[in-house]
Amino acid sequence: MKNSDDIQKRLRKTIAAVFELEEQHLPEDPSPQTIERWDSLGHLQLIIAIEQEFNVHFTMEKIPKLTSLELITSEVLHATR
Amino acid sequence: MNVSSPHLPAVKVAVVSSYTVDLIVRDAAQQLKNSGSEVEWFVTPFGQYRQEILSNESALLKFQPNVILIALHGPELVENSLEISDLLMAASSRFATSTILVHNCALLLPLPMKFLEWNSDRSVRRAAAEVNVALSQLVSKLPNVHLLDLEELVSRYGAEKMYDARLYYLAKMQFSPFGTQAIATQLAWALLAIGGRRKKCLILDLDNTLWGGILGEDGVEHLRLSSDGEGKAFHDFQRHILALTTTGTILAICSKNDETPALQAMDSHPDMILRKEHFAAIRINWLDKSQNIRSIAEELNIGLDALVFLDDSPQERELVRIELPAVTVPDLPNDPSAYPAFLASLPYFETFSVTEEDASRRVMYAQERQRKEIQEGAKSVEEALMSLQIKVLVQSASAFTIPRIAQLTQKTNQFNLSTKRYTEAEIRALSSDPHCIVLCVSASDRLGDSGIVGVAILKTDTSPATIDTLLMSCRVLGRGIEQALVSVMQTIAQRHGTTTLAAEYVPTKKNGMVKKFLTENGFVSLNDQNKFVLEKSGEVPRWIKVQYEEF
Repeated sequence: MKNSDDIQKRLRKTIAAVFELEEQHLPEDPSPQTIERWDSLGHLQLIIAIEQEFNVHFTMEKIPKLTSLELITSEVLHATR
Repeated sequence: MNVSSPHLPAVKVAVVSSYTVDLIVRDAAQQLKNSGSEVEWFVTPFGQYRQEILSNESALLKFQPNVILIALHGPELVENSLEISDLLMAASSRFATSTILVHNCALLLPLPMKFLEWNSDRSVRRAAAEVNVALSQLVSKLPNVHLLDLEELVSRYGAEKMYDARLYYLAKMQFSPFGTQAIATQLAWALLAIGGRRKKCLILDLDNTLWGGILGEDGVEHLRLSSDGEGKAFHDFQRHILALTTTGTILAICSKNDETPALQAMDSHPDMILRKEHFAAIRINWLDKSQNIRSIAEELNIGLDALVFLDDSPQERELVRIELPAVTVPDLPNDPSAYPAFLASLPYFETFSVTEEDASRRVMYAQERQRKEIQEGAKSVEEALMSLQIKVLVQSASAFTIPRIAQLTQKTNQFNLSTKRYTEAEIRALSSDPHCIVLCVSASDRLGDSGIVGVAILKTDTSPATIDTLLMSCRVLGRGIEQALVSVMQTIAQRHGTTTLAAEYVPTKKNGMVKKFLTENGFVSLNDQNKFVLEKSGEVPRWIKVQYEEF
């Protein structure tokens, strides 16, 4: 489980950087509903940043579905396993 | 991006495209912001480019962009090449005061029949190449339209690396994050080049930079510099540097060496390409390099921010960076075999057009050295000036002179009344305005032709007429040419029914000499210290022969 915590920590950092927010101001459950700039373009910027951060590659079908911290974490875990 | 140059004035840039360019724009905007340039961006919805260019109601027209980038899919350029040519011609005239950049055609997807490709009449790659040739021929006839070489980026980095199919299908984006960044960087540098921010002078070290080895220790016969083998890297590097001089970059040397043997090596080594005559200024001594660089800038009369310094020694580079932060000091690679490609990768000297002055600048600087020698040898300044037999020609702006006029407005910092920067497109518009007179002055003497060295722009729809721009290249200052220009300018203004001329001096850090000139040459300042009126200018100095067109 430690691995998943670590990924969440790095993800929160990446999300904050992409949407230019202070990390401590990031909502508990970052998602397009809770972050204003997380629109469709913002989503792709975030996916690109996450791929670079974790050196992973998401499929075209996966990309639109990764819309919450939980979903992204489990996908990153899956991809880096 | 490392641009320690003066800021661009706030520039309005629009992008019209057939795919989603938002990430490219965001990246370019960030790079320009980091370099201190203010840009206002406008992105039209993708696929709307025809309407945006052709409609009288378009948001693009209302935005009044200084620069427009037209970015289209490669296949679209191939399929609709004739229609797109017409569209570019329409864009050129509808947006006559804008500079228009067009990505040329690059194919990003691998073709299924690669063996058949160039062996078939239906070759897509051949069609793409033909489109690029046609585009290149077209833009050479459209003065405000330039191609931006996307194809070069794709062939350098590879389509596989630049394309991302997922982003294409999900968001019509087509470029990968890497590709996006490469395109954004190219765009940012293109905007800086259009804004006239290119560097003027490349200062070079000698030992282990222009040749391999240390002259003082190894001796000239053991230098690594040859037309074959390992030493060819230096030979090729020099050839690339020489090529830069044909597009207007001037060269200087700053080396810690004994001067006499170093100059001998330069002129006698059979494989040297760059000889003494190629350098506008030479500092070969044991002084501190930053001190030498400062004195080169003074001798050539150009700002420190117009200099690029190449030296193999990281210590020397660091010292110059600390002492002279305005000078651009790239890190030369450790391996000389990488020098030629490294030089080619530097964007500082890029330009979309080469003026006549650019092409002959090196020779002009050599003549300048001779003029200085004459002035130093003469009994009086006037005697020296008489002996030069200076001739001055004043002309109105024409298709031939507009690029150089725009260039002078962008580059002249010292003798510049208002420091208004104009693009070629803007000068073209001013010169066709009936209430505006755009003059340029060329100078020559018995040593040679200096080309166009000064510009004056008069606005005649005010009373009195206003001097919008008055500038002179610092290379020729102090010979009476600036007095001659003012005198002719007033004669021309008289023919347009106005004798009195108003001038507003706009002070900058560098143009203090203008105020002094105005007060010494018949301009009278009004209550506001920077507003001047000229009733009667001085005569043309007697050592100058002036010719001017009928205006």
